[in-house]
Amino acid sequence: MSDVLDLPDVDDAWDWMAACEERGWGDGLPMVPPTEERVAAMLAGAPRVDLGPLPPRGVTPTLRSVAANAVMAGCRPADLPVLLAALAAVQDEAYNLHGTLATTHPCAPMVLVSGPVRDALGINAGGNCLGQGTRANAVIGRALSLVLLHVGGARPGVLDRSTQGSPAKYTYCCGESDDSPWPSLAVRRGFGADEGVVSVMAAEPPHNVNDHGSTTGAEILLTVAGTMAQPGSNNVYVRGPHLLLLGPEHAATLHRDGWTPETIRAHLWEHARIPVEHVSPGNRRQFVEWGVEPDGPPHDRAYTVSDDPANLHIAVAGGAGKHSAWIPSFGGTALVSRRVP
Amino acid sequence: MRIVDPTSGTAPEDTAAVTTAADAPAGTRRGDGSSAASRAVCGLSNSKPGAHDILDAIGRRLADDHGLGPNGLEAKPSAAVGADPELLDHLAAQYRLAVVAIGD
Repeated sequence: MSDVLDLPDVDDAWDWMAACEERGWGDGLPMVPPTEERVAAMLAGAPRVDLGPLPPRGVTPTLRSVAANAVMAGCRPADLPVLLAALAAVQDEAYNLHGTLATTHPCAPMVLVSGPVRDALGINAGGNCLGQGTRANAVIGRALSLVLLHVGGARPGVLDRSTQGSPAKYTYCCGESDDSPWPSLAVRRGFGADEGVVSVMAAEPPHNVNDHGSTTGAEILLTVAGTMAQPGSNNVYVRGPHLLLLGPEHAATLHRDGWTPETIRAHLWEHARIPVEHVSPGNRRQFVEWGVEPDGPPHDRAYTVSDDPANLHIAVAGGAGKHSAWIPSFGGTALVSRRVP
Repeated sequence: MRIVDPTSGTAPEDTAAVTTAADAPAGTRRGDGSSAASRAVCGLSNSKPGAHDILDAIGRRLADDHGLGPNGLEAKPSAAVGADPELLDHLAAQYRLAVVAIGD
């Protein structure tokens, strides 16, 4: 069955947008028409990868349909392998794609790109890396969301049941910085420093950690732990992963004081705890149904923020300034990494 | 303008055959041809407290107003993941109708 549609010619960008709207396509922003010529150019030299069915609709994308969405998002052909790696990563069972797309939670597929491919594509890992202004960041994250929308069928209000959604659902992609005192997250997860790696997680938008006053690593971690100890996070009872995206200046201070990703993780596990009195009685009862109860001595009963310190992931990104980001997740998901083919 | 359909792909195969309540062994069927199980209605909860309340109320109304029952109430193991195929097969084999609730 042909995957080519013969649409009336449209000379006007607004007419093309209207045509997309009529078909229920898109995220509300302008898209590039995926003409046969553009899709062919996108696929020239593309790696062959096996793709599985995408929930909620259960349709298995073809390379051509992935490429069509990449064109629509504004990708360049060089971006396609990163998109394919991200698509493979979200299809890992541990990521729980169906649950993360259909949930009422506002999670979005966050894409963190590590290794030389980051600079080769111009993916921003520095100032405003989670914001607007860099084509690669914008279009790779957007293309992934469009594939999940168009092929997977995760249409807002239909099969995407998010209560409020979030701006991250438009696009959520940044690079992991080399301006880090430690080996990268990808290297610590077993990949080579010369490999391109994509890590994905069904994540909330970043929560800022502003700390201009602290002058030691321990002080910074006090602020981070306090930011993470939020009773409204899914992670409190669904558990699952967090990503702490340290700004380079916070990371440098921590490194100066002898902290490593491993000791930071252990410290946060011990100190990012939610006091029982910050959790409503109704929620405490619900958490019990999920098998989650507070621990600690009677005068200091508190909830941990996940089920295992290994779920606290740490990376460095950003530019100058005393800000970091805590990125909680859907909970019923995992941080999954894949090599870029 | 010829474009590549961004929604295209390989459609899922038809749902694998499951044993439904209508397939119940002949010995278990009633005079009207339905089995005891096939007369039942099931509520399938997404495991959130509101869903249980909604389904419980719907089950009572179906029984009181329409004489439908006995009614069952089942739930996914976790609200964060989809229902296992095994659970859906079980429901198809035990009940004629399932009402799904996502009451948060």
